[in-house]
Amino acid sequence: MTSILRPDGDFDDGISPEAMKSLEATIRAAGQYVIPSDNLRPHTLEAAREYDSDRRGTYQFARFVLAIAVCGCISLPVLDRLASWREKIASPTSLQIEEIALKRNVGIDWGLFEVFSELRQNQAKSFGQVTVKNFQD
Amino acid sequence: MSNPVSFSERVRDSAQCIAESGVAALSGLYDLTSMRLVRFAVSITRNQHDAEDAVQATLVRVAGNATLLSRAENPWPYLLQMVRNESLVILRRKRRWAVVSNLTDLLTQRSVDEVEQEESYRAVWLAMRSLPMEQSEVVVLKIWEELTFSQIADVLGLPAATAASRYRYAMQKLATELRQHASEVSHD
Repeated sequence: MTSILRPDGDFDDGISPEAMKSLEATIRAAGQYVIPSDNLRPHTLEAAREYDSDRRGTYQFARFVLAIAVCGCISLPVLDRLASWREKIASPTSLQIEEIALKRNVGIDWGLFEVFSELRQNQAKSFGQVTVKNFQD
Repeated sequence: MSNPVSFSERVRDSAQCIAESGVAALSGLYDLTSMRLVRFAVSITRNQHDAEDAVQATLVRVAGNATLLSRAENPWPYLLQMVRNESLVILRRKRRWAVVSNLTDLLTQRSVDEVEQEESYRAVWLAMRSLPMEQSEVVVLKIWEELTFSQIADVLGLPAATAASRYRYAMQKLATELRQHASEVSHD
């Protein structure tokens, strides 16, 4: 059996053209015999809607995560800056005051006074340094 | 049967509608193509339920990214190729490669004026099921989808000469099967 390529891209067939046409017509006529079930249409449309809403949900979650990441990137340096300020303005704890009073061999009231005075001096110094630095800049 | 080129353009228009209006426009593409897609998928899966699963998965995929279909050079063969891929995935998963010798799984329609023709239709579908999948899908694409061998070759990813020879062998087998069936009916 030989096959010859026709200009339209199809092939001539070895079976007699009449028999082939008849067979093709018989097969063609049966083409509409099988049909999709009635459920397929609603199931397909529902599945497409679900897929679409899932996809939208995923996009929204991704956007939320991205927003959180951006907020984190922005707030970390700010928190670092605040932490450095906290060290400068934080007051000593009662335990620290007690330790200092014992070290200097003074009463707890006097120790508190000394510690408070030192704290004020240190804070004044550190703020003073910042101010001086700012003026120098 | 409509001209494949104009049908392809109608598929493109439907895909563009989905791309513009979203999932709500999928019903247009479904109404246009579902019967033909199921028919093609049945020739691969040999089971209507699996074929419908493949068509549903394909159309959901199209709804997710309709621009892929609307921008395809030939949207209709492209859609057929998508259905074929989905059908093969289902077939691989279910390992249902055996030849089916009846039509019990198929949902058929019969109009009153075609009752006499029904026996002929059943014979054709049974004969189609007796073919290997590689041959029956070529017959479906050639006769029912009216594609040329070069278009069939594009859909199936094989040379046009191979598609033509598969068609030739398939038609020989179908002729034999239908002749046998006709003689059995006349004896009965």
